[in-house]
Amino acid sequence: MNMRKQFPIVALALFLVLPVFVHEGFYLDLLLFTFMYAAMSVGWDIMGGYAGYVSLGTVGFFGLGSYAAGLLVVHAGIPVFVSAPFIGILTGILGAGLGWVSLRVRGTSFVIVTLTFASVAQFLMLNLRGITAGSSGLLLPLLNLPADQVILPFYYSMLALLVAAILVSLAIRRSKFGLGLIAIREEEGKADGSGVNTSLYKILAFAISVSFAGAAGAIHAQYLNTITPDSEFELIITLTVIIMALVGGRGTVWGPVLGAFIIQPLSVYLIYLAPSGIAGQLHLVGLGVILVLVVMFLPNGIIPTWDAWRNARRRPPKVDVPGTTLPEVAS
Amino acid sequence: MRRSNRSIAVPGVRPLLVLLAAGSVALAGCAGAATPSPAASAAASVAASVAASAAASAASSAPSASPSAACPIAPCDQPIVIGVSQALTGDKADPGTAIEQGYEVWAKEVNDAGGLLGRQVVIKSYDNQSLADTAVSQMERLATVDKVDLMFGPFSSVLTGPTSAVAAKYKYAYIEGAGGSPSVFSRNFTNIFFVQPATADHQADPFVQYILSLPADQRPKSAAYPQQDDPFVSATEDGAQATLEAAGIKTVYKQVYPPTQTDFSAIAAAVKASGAEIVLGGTIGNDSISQVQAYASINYQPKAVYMTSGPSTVGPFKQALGSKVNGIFTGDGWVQTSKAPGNDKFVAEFHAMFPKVTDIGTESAEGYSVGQVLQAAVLGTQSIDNAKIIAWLHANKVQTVQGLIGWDPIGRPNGSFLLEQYQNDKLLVVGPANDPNKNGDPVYPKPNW
Amino acid sequence: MNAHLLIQAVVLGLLAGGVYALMASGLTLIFGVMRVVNVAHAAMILTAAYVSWVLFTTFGLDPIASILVVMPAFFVGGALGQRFVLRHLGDRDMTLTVLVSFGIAIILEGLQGSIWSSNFQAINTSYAQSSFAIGDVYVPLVRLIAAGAALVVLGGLFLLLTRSNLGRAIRATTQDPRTAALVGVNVEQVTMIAFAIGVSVAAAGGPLLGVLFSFYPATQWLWIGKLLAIVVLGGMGSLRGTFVAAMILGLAEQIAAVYLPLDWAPLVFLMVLFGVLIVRPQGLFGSVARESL
Repeated sequence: MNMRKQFPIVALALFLVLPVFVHEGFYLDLLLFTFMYAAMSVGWDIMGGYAGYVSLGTVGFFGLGSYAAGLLVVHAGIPVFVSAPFIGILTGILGAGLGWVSLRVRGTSFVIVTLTFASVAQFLMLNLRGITAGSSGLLLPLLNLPADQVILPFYYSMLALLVAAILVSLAIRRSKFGLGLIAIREEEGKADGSGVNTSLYKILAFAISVSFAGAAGAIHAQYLNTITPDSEFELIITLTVIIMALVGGRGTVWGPVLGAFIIQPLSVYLIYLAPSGIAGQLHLVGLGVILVLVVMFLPNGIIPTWDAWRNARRRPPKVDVPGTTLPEVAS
Repeated sequence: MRRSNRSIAVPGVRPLLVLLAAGSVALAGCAGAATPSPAASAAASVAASVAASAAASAASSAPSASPSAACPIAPCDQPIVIGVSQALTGDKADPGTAIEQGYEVWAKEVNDAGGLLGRQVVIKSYDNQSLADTAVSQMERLATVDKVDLMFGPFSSVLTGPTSAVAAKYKYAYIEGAGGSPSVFSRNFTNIFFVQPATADHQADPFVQYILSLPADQRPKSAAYPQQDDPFVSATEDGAQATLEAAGIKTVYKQVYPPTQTDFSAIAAAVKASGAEIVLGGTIGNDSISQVQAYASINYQPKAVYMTSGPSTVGPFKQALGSKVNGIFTGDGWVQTSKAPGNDKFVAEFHAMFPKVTDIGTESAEGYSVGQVLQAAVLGTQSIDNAKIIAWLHANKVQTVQGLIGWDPIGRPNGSFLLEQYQNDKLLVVGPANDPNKNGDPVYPKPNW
Repeated sequence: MNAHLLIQAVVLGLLAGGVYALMASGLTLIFGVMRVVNVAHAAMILTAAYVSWVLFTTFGLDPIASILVVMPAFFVGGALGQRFVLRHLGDRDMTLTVLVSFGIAIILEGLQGSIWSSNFQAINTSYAQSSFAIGDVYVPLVRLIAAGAALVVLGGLFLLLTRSNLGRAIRATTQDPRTAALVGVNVEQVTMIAFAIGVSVAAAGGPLLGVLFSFYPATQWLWIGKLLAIVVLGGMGSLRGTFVAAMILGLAEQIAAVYLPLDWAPLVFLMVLFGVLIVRPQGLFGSVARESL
């Protein structure tokens, strides 16, 4: 039992000291994006996994966070590492507003609103050209650090974002709030009836869930240092975040993290391992196929499926004597 | 929501997670050491370059040949590797591929003639799928894992922005043929060299100067600027508008339309209603055809029409518009019939390597010019040291198929675009006045549609 | 403002509304029987647009005529897709169906980009730029033809739903599948057919989109936003609502284009969408959200 609890700490320690031994920018870039996607995926899972409400609008919040941070750098000289937490909170407030519009009734409004929200956000950034420079994009000044160190603030801030997301997710999981969300996912009508304030819970969950995307976007703006409506609102970002959560395990704390560590390196390395041109042509199709296959054949993702398999093997065969066995309680 | 039967996660799979984390780093280490050696693929020549470099690196245990006069920089049996992250797929695939083909024609020419400084040149190209994040990751790989000697830039200003920062970080000279939007230069990097006659905001200068050179009684008093939403287009249109306004030509119409616009009747009606005497259309391709058709169909007769892009794709333009093309102006950095030294060889070599391409796109010429610039700097400094190359390029001009190009301290070229105009159904070069390619004089006002 | 510009906007808006109505009707029909938002709807329309474009550039087949080709083809495709993919998800979360739909949208977008590149395409027929004038108002010929074709298909759909047994079965399933089953409707089969009809009608909108607008794979996200606005305003599941809403929004867009810069006009759709969800989520003709118990 102790080992299981220590592994995440060991992993964290590993990632903290890794830059001392690994200097190549390519690996640090790979890891920081893995952290970023993992954090956003953990966030997505709070709404899509715990509460069961699928948001298709992740990149809308990511992009707005990115532009907010970028504009603050360009016009007010505020570094993204300072503004990111506040942008995260503001994104959460925006999410709460969007949630209020779409979550007061049950049903399909949420999917519709989140999907179109991402389009609206991109549209606004594209057309408010006086503020955002439209399709030409915003170019940010670079950080004033030596070449071998300039990637480190991004690496550590994305790692910190991931740790924060995991801690928040753990806290929710073990709280009454978390139980309420799961109740909403399982049987919303009954949850409503038994006194859970479902509207408030859903809105709150969504607000928390998107705040990580906003903060990630803010840090990303400075990393890429050239932000355009295309680069910051790529639909692939939403798609990747969802696939990671589904593959790793929807509704779990660590599932999205596992998914990120599988999918992101695969995505990056595909271009080096596959013949030139093929990877590019099939990238989008491949992701779509993975999504469809996972939903159809492995809808719970790796972690819950592995757990169920493990538990099934561990339990002794049941002997059904009426009146002597208590109902199973999920642990 | 219907019931689903998932149990609450048991904290027993974290070991798997850590294993995967460690595994991904290990994978990174393993894959980093071996360079990919793909089998035959669709993008044959690009893949061939990569395969060639793989074979070369695999044989790297051979002792380096000592330097000689023909090969001043050891190791002489090793190729000079030029790294590129290029948009070969995705929404910038066509121009990206065209630039890449320009690079390849240049590399083949150099290698056939004995190489650069006696060493073969290999272009190591990764497809960034038109995605900025991927481009940055690939630039990091080229610099820190592949440790390429030199670099070329990708297609488009939006990809040149972030990748130039990575190149600057690792102190590579960044010679690029397609990032010409003014914003690319806004951070005052000294390692960027944009290989076109001028930046985007100067593309329409020859036209603007021509208009302003007209005697006062013939000069137009108002102008319209209907333009597509695109960074290159806006840079050109804004540049022209600023100069014309400063000279007293009023802007009576300016409208940015989305790329999906196909119905120009409303725009044409509005332009006509504004009374604009000349039109500067910010077009990219088919919208140039649609604008002209729309103007003609409502009998709007401006005295001059300039279109940023589209008219020089002669085939489709003439086929769609017939004799309506006459009088229309456009701008270009290069024409296939250019008299610039080396251009005939470039065109012949291109057709030999890529027989299916009938009209060579300007991007390919830009790619080829990038190679020419690097070649001149390497030969001029007798080295592949990026710092020396950067210094040399700031102090010299290079003769390319796009003409003689030199740069200011932050990499902006100081040449001039060509002014072209359709006359008698042919596209002629009508400006600048002293350009060797000039084969006609501008006609004003435009014959009626 | 010019009065004739306004009249012009009304004419263009009505013509556009007809085409929008066609594109959105399949979406509302599918929602009616399956209670699922078909996120891939615009991707399907675009696929039909690409097919029509290929037929036009290769064989010279007029896009309006190609409707007769794509409709049956997509009907079959839709039926197969529902039977072998979507039906199996029916027993699980609705959310999983949305995810599959999203995945299909991505797959279609990826295939379109790989096969036909991500450049802008448009179906440039010979009559693409001609228009005729009625007084001060000009009517682009291609818009008139497209609207006409849209109305023909919509008319056929309307007749099918109101005058045939199948139509009655579909409407019964939309209203209450359990009761429909009790009175002898084969709900599974009807759902499959209704889905196939919805996809087929969407395909009919493809060639029309291709002649009126230029497109490339990623434009599906612009379109799904507009179509969702239409069906939400009209009331999910209500065909009559979709028609009315399409007309309203088509008009609003063209009128907005008179007063606002051209690229802002599409925002009208999105503002209406959010407005409806805040004020009256069931739209004009929908019933208050009926949820599964």
